[in-house]
Amino acid sequence: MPDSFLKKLADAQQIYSGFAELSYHSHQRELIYELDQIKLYHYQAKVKKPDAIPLLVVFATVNRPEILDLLPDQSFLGGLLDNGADVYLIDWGYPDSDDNTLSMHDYISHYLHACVLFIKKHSHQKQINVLGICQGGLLCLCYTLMYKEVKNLILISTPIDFSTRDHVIARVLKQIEIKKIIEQSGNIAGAWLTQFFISLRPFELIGKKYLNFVDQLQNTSFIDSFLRVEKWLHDAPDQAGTAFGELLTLFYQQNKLIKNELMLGGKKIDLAQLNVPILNIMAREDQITPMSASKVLKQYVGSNDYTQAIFDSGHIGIYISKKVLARMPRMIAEWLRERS
Amino acid sequence: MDKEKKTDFNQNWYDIWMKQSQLFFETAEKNLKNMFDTPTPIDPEAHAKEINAWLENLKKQWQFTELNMQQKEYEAYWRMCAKMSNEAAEMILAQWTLRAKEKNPIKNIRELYDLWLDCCEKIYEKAMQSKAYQEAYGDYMNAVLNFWQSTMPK
Repeated sequence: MPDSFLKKLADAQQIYSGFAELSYHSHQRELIYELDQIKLYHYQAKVKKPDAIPLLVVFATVNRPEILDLLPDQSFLGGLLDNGADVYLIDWGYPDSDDNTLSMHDYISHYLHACVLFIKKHSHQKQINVLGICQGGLLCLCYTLMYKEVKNLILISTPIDFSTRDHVIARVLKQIEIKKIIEQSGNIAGAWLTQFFISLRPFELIGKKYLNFVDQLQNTSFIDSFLRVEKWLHDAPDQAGTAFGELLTLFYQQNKLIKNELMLGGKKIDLAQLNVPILNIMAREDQITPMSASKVLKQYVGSNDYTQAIFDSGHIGIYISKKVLARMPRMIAEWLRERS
Repeated sequence: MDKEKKTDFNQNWYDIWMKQSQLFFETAEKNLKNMFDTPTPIDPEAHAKEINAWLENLKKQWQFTELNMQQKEYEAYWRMCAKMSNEAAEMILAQWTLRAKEKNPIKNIRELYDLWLDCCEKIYEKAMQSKAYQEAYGDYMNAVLNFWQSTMPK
């Protein structure tokens, strides 16, 4: 191995080791409500007169919402604020062993509902807008059907049909013996989820990624972004066993949502009853939620106001790509304003 | 019950990558260094013996005559990886030869590493679409999940 390359590897290792200490949040926000481990944040508006109807952003419980505001000048939440949105964010926290019996119904009817009611009161509005991301999109979709509190529903990379041909992750997850594992140990280790996502594309997410990192050591802006994303990638919370088990069995393994067989908390989740305006956003290169799994939503919902948008990016890239961030937040804000 | 989790950053993927790539660079250095010391790029077909010796070294990481208990739990996945490693080796040789013919030769070990990553990625992506691989991968993930569960507080 050439000495110069060896030295670069060693230098890179030194720089890499500092990522855990990096700060995470870019935009000013205030913690306005807490319930158990769940926190609700309100972001400081960046325009004089933000939109009257609040926008609640709901990330997946899998992974942390920090990816939405990782860098000051490459921030999805920052983009929404720039475009006049009044942004709230749920932080699901880090479930511990006390939380292993939390179900999807608990997340929807207890936590999400409590946050929505709080925001209504906080903003003096009768309804609010909700933006759900990936599994967070599923929670929002079910919530919108179960309660009449949502004015407009925005979904990003939200899987609806778990049986499409190119949905590799769904096929693999069908093999996971989730019930047995949860019975044995309660929650699901976040470290396993990280390993799972990396092992879907190991040569890109380990080999090429770190080689690129070594090559770009002199590029301080690149290194800063790289290390923040790396910190986020490693910061995967453990998952409440019951809720995660339901996600895998009811959605990924049994595909009950589009079969019209899904029951949560004794209520049927019937997509045909979904009548609010819907903006369904997808990433063209998304391998976690391929477009084929999302775009079928239109066939199942009752809404007459359905908009689909596709951006050239991946499942996570969509929140940090400069090109996408120049367009997506503005598009969301305009879509909402037309329906306010 | 607000117990902020102290993130476990001990699983250092950069370290894992360094160790894995070390095998590549060390075996390439040992078997191929002379080929890249020449002023003009080499024709890989003329050095098939050295190249094959190096590729055999790379393949060895997936070959175990006796599997330990942990490896047995994901034996099918392990064998899939060995098969993919063989396919990637064939692809590397073919691409290397093609590039030499197209006057876009591999000029150093670093470029060879880039080619190796490209070939492995293509083979892996194709394998992920097959039912056999998905089943083996599912078994492997069950084993890995069991391992991580054992590290969690009860």
